[in-house]
Parts: sequence; C-alpha cells; structure tokens
Amino acid sequence: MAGDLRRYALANARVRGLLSTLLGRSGLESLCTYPSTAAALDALAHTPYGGTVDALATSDHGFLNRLGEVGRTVVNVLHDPERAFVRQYLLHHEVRSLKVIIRGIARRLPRQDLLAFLVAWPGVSTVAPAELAAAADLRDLVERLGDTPYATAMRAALHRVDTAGPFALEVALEIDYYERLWANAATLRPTDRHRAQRLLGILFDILNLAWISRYHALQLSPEEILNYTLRQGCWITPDIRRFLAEDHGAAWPAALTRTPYAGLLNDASARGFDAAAVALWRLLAGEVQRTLAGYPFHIGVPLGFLLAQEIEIRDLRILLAAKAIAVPPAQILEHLATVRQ
Amino acid sequence: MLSPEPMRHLTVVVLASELEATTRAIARVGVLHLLDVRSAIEPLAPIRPYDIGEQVGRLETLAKMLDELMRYLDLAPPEVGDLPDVSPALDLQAVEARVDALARDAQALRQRQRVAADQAVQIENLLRNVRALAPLGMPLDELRRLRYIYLTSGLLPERNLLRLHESLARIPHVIVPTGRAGADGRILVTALCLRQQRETLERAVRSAQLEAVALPAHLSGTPETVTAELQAQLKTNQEARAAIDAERQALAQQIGDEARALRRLVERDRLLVEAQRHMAHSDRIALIAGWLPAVLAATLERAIRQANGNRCVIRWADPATMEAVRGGRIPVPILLHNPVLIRPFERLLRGYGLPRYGEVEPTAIIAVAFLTMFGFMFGDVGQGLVLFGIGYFIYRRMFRYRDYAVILMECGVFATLFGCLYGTVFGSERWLPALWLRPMEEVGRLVQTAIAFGIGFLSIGLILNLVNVVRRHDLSLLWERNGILAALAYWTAVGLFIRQLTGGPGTVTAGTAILWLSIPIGLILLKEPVRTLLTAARERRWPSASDCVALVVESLVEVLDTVVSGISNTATFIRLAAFALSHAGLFLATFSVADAVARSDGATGTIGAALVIIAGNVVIIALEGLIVAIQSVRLEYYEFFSKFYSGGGEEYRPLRFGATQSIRP
Repeated sequence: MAGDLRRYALANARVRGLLSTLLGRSGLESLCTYPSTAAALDALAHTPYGGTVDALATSDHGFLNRLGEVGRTVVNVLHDPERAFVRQYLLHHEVRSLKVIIRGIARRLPRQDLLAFLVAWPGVSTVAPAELAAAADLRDLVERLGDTPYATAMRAALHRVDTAGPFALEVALEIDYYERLWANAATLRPTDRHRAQRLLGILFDILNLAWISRYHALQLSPEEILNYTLRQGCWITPDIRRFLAEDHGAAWPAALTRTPYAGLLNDASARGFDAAAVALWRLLAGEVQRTLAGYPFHIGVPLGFLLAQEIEIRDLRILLAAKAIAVPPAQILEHLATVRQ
Repeated sequence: MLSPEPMRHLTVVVLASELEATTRAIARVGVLHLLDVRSAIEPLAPIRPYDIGEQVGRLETLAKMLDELMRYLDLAPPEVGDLPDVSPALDLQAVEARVDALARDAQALRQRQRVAADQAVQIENLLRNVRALAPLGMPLDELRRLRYIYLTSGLLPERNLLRLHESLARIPHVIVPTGRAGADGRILVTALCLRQQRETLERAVRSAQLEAVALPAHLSGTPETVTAELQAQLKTNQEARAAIDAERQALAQQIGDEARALRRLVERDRLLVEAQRHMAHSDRIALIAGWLPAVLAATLERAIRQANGNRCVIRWADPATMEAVRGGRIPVPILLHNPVLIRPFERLLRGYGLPRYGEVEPTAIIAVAFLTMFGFMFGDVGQGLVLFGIGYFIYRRMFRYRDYAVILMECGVFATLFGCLYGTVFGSERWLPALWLRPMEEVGRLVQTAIAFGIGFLSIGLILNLVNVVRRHDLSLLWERNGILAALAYWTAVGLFIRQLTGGPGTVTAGTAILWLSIPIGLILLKEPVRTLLTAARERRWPSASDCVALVVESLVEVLDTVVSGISNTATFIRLAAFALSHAGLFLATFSVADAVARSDGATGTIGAALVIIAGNVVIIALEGLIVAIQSVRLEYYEFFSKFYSGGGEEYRPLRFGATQSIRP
C-alpha cells in the first residue's frame, strides 16, 4: 500500500488534473447541438482541444498531437516498469504510422503525401516516421528500422509480400505490437498486471471481434483468421475465437453468451459490425470509468485515462465527420461511446 | 570561498549576418551560459526566435548516419571534448553529399555481407532440415514422392508456434520444431498432415508466417551425401564472407579519419545551431544574452568585438541591479569555486541541489565537518593510512574517480589524526600513547565532545541562515523557521545547559531556566498573532474568531517544532560517539577471536590469529568505513542543511566547443 502510494501519488494527482480536461459525455452532447462543423470547431477551440483546432483543417493530426501531449505528461510522472508499459501502449500510434508508410510504399505514393498522416511524439516515439517514409521499398524500410522490434516482426513476414501484398507486413506488425504490449503488462507487479490486463483484455477482445468480422468479409479461411488475430484477451477464450473464426456471424450471439458482449452484437449482421461496435467501446469506456473511480494508486488510473482520452478523440472524429454531412444530433449521439459525464 | 563565483549579465546586439561569427567566438572563449533572450529583455514586437528545427533535424540525421557508419566499420567514436573550430559554418549540402557517398560505399558492402549471411542461414537451415529427416532413413527423392502424407518445413517465428497449432485444431496434424530459435526469433519446423488436407495446412503455415525451406530439386541422394554437399557449400560461403569482411576493414582504414572528422564537424555545428535556440532576431539584428563569471567579462567582450569588427552593442549588468533577477524570473547560474582539496565535496552539495545565487555556498564547511566527523568515528592510524593508500592508488590509476580518491585520501588523513588522538594502530592500543583519550575508557568525555560538536555545527547552520537573510535583503525572512528567534531560543537553551554543567548542580534552577527560555519562546508564540494584527490594522480587516484560533494553534505548533527539533537535532550527534565506540568495540571483538584462535595450536594458531586480525581490519575498513561515511552525510543533509539551505540553483553551463564541464576562472 505504501509502495503503491509512493509509485502513484504523483501520477494519480496529475491524471486527476488531466481528467478535468476531457469534455465528457455532456461536453460532447453540447458540441452535437452546434449547427455546423465550423461552429462545433469554434466551440472546440475554447476547450483544452483549442490548440488542435487549426491542425484539424487539414487532417486529424491535431487530435493525435493532443494525445501525444497528454501521453507524454503521463509517461513523465511514472517510474519504470510502469513508465515503459504506458509508453509501449502509446506506441500503437507509431504502429499506425508504420502501417501508413507500408501502404504508401507499396502503392508507390510520394513521401510528401504520407507525411500528413504520420505522427512522432518526442519522448515517446522510438522511430522517426518521416525519415522512414523516404524508404525506397519495403525491404529498405525494414533495413531502416534497424534493430527495432518492428524490424524483427516485419523481417519475418517480408517473404510473404510478393504473394499477400503489404497486408502481410501490416498484420505481422500489429500482432507483434499487441503481443509485446501484453508481455510488457506481464512485467508489472501482480496487482498492476491484473488491472492492466483487464483493460487491455477488453480492448483486445474488441479488436479481435472487429478483425474477425473484417476477415470474414474478406473471405479468409478460419486458419488465416486465427493466425491474424490476438491470442490474448479478457472474455474471448481460444474456443470462442475458434468458433467465431469458423462462423460467419449469424451464430455469434450464441458464442458470446457467457461474455459481457452477449446481446451487444445482435444486430451486427444487419447494421454492419462497425455500427454495432459502438456498444463494445461503451463497454470499455464503462470499465475505464469503474477503474478510475476505485482505489487510485495503480496502473489502471494512467492507462484508463489514456483509454478515456482515445475514446473521446474517437467520438470527436465521428462527431465532426457527422456534422460535416449534417447528421441530426440525436443520431450522432447514438454513435458516441464516451460514458463519463 | 563561501559564495559562488560572482556573475555578470551580458546582452549583445549584433548584425544578423554576423551572428554565426559571434556565436563561434563565444563558443571559442567558452564562458557564456546562454539565457533565453526573450526572458531577459522586455518583449519587443519585431524580435522573434530562430527557427532551427529543420537545420537541427538535418544535422541529427547526419550524426546518426555517421554513427551508424562508424559502428558498422568498427571505428571508435571521435572525442567530442575538443571540437574543431573552423570557419565558415558547414556547407550542409556538401557534407550531406559526402556522407551519403560514404554511406553508399558501406551500404553496398553491407548488402553483399547480408546476402552472404542469408545464404549461410539458408544452407544451415537446409542442413538442419536434412539432419531432421535423416532418422527416416529415406532418400530425399522418395520423401518428395510421398503419396498419403503432405510434408512442409520452414522457418517460423517461435512465438507463432502455438498460434499455428490452434489454427490447425480442426485437422489431424503434426508439427515438429527442430533445434532452437535463431537470432531472428525463428525456429525450423516440419509440419505434416494427410495429403488431402494439404490446402488447409498450406493456408495455416502461410498465415503463421512460415518461410518454406524447400529441399531444392538438385539435392538428391541419401541424407548423408546431401549433408556432405551442403557442408562444402557452407565452407565456400564462409570464405566469401571472410573476404567481404577484409574489404570492410580496408574501407575502415580508407575512410576512418574522414568519417571521424566529419562527425566532429557535425557535432560542432549542432552545438552552434542549438545555441540559437536561446537567441532571437529581427530582420537586421540578432540578440544574445547570458551569464558569465565577472572576472572573464573583459576577455569575452574583446573576443566578441574582434569577431564582428566592433559592429555590436554590448550591455553589462550586475545581478543585484536587475529587476528580473530580484523578482526571481531569471535565475543566475552557479559556478562553484573551491580549492582543489575541497572541490570533490561539491558532489555532496550537488546531491542536495546547488545554492541559489547570493546565498552562502557551504562546500568548505561541509568538507571540514564531514572529515572531522569521519575521523572522529573512524579514528585509527593504521586504517587511516590504508584508506589514504587506497585513495592514492585510485588517484593515480583511475582518472574518472579522482574526486572520490581525493575524498578517500582526506578521510585517511583525518582518520590518522584522530587515531593519534585515540592512540590506536589497527585497533591495537599498545604501540602509541593516546594524545587525547581512549574511547572505551572515557565514554562520558567522548559523548560530551560529540554533543559539543553538534551544538557548534548547528549553530553555524543557524548563523548561515541569518547571513542568507541579510544577503537576500529580505528581513521578513528573519522571523521565519530557523530564523533569529529559533537561534535565540537554541542559544539560550545551550547557554543554560553549559552553565549548569560548568557551575555544578543547582546552578540553574527550573525557575531561572523557564524565565530565560520564556523570552525567545514567547516571541515565537506571539510572532504570528502580532504580524496578523498589524496587517489587519493596516488593512482595516479584522480576522474572524476561527482565524484567531488557527493562528494560536499554528504558533503553538511552531514552538513545539522549534523545541523538539532543537533537542533532537543536537542529541542525534551522540551517534558520533556511538560509532567511535562501535569502531573500538569491533576491534575488541576481532582481537578476542584472534586470541581464541592463537591459543589453539602453536604456529597454526599464530598464523590463524594474524589472519583473523587482517580479515577483521578489512571488514571494519569496508563496512564501518561505509557506515561512518553515510552517517556523516546524513548529519550534514538532515541536521545542518535543514537549518539554512534550500538548493534550487541552476548550474553554470557555458556554451563551448566540446566539453560541458564547468570552467573555473
């Protein structure tokens, strides 16, 4: 207990401060009421997202910068191994940038076109995406990644690029990243490990459900689906995963009966997975909320805050996109996952 | 000695076109601690910071490329302690082109090396594969023609092994890993299933990233003959790789000096460009600001004027006259300036934080106090000389640890001096007479001396606090914690205590003590209420009843804190005597064991006893020496520093080519 206090007193205080910078459900609801995207952006400029609004005109970099800023703040108030874990968590944006580069190189897009989609956060990032984007081809990209874990993962999949295209590298990169993140969580102290793997487990479940649904749409075989999804998770056991990989959706509710996801995806086959997935994100947001409300000195607080921040950014993107095509506020609200008031 | 080096503030206005030459001159002299210009001057609209992001990025890329190149060629990194000072600034484009050319040469070599290494891995994998199939006792051609079994083998990332098993759960299959994973985390596996389920297996192994290691069609015959053939290929490959490595070494010889020189130039330029982060400019002029030791002001001014042909405006200011310094907006950097024997103790000070400019710089005091306390607790002529010897050895042989070596030698000297006072040599009291006392025989005097030392040491702390108040020109601090009232209370109590000790029992009655102590304690008690009342009278806003109660409670707590900390801070110095006794006690224990051993047998007993004494001395030097050093540091940090020292000063780090160490005028 005293150890927890020592490790997390500062982090907890800082995160409590940062939590007040989130808009929350009520903030998002009031943004929904603005008549246009411009008006919503105007309103957003007077929130802690103020600094991001200018950048939003060209891409959603502004949001990512905001995330990088708060991420760095959180990382700086933690000690190792918690610091290393949270930093590793934030690196999923680096993985996202690498995926952009892989796709760009495979499609022979000019480097200039890629730069707007790449993020590098000083103090968090481990590679320089802007430099990597100058790679001549995918092999050169792997070389430029040097001795990073990304290079190891991608090198093992390079031989498949000719037959499977850049997808082979993307999936190898992503799965490797999440497995390392899970392994990193396992290095935390037992209480922290439990809390971190609980939150990550739900996130992994959501990712797995989304990926399985997408792979079915791409008509991949069950073997491929199982190899392209995460073995770890919270509620989705290997048996459930195998069942989901073999079934095309109609029997999913039955397979998920013993999980909290039961009932949440009932209409997935009718509305499409992405539309139905908001319920899953809400479930994660609810778990984050519970984590933040309980005993304050553990890894769940910084990790939960970052998840809450990401969910809010997801909602803001949806909100602004919906405003741009004049979707009525009530309909926008249906797609928002934030639950924190 | 009790103050940091006096500093002066410099502001330079130069033509923007001459900034580079001026910065170079400043770095060459190497005494200016740069200050963010915008914090040093009133905001002016046309003044803006330099946008150096792109240039720094390019230089960092160059540095990274050169580091990578030198790593590949096994070239020792260049010393950055002495960066070249050549003019003009780097032609970045030319350097980039040259570094690109060097990197290309190395890249071509590396590519060939990689291909050869890949080939070696390929052959080794084939070898492993063939050896794994050898127990089947079948020629490879027959294995290729299996009718009911489908077999594939290849390299699989080891962490995907379980994943592959899971994905094949619906068909009967066998997966045989061979050997251990290589450096790339991949393991050689052979997977088998019924031929009719071949497609399922193929899909699974493909998606698990298995890279097939096919048995090439040209490999035929029994596993033994194929193994021999592959071993011959491996040998040829090894020879090819050795030849490439020789080329790599030749290239290192050929371009090594150039690469190192370029690396140093890039480092130099990065230093100059990054210095601009602190500067600002308008269209025509550039501004530089910073601090430097006052004694070096003329030297720097001369260098700056020479660099830009006197086309500049230079303004000097003393920290005391600067409003921004007095208001705490700009910190003045601290350059410690102590004699060589005391300098190593600056580390002790840095451990707590540097003093703020204008405050007392107590390195000399803590050095003397540390050594005295160490000697007091560790007094022994023999062990002192051993410590001195170890310190001297480190001083001569290990340059990096010279500071510690000096401390160790000084500790040795003080331990020897106190050893003479105690009359002990390696714990033996037979060889020297005690010039002062023998610790185990006069415990009372030892304790009294320790407490007297503590009182003196704490009093110095209280006096230094008063000196700091005067130096800060803020008399309100006089009434704060450990201020004049706490000092008065402490010294009154000490005076009464001494009088009682020297005058005999009954000299100081309880009534007298209470009467005398009530004066400073009463003042502490009344301090806050009086201050509050004066403020209230001035502002005509009277405090509420609850505020008054809080005020009284606060004053009572302060009185309690002053009394308790005064007693405990003094009493804690008894540990000096306690550790001096434990030092003597450990010797006693060592000699008792040695005596017991000596009595056992003739010659063996004598040798055993000598060994026990030697081992005992080694343990005492190592263990007690460490404990005593820790206790000395503890007494300084907790008892002494808490009286007057706050730390928080900024270290003086001048812009200079190469080194970052502080300079001493």
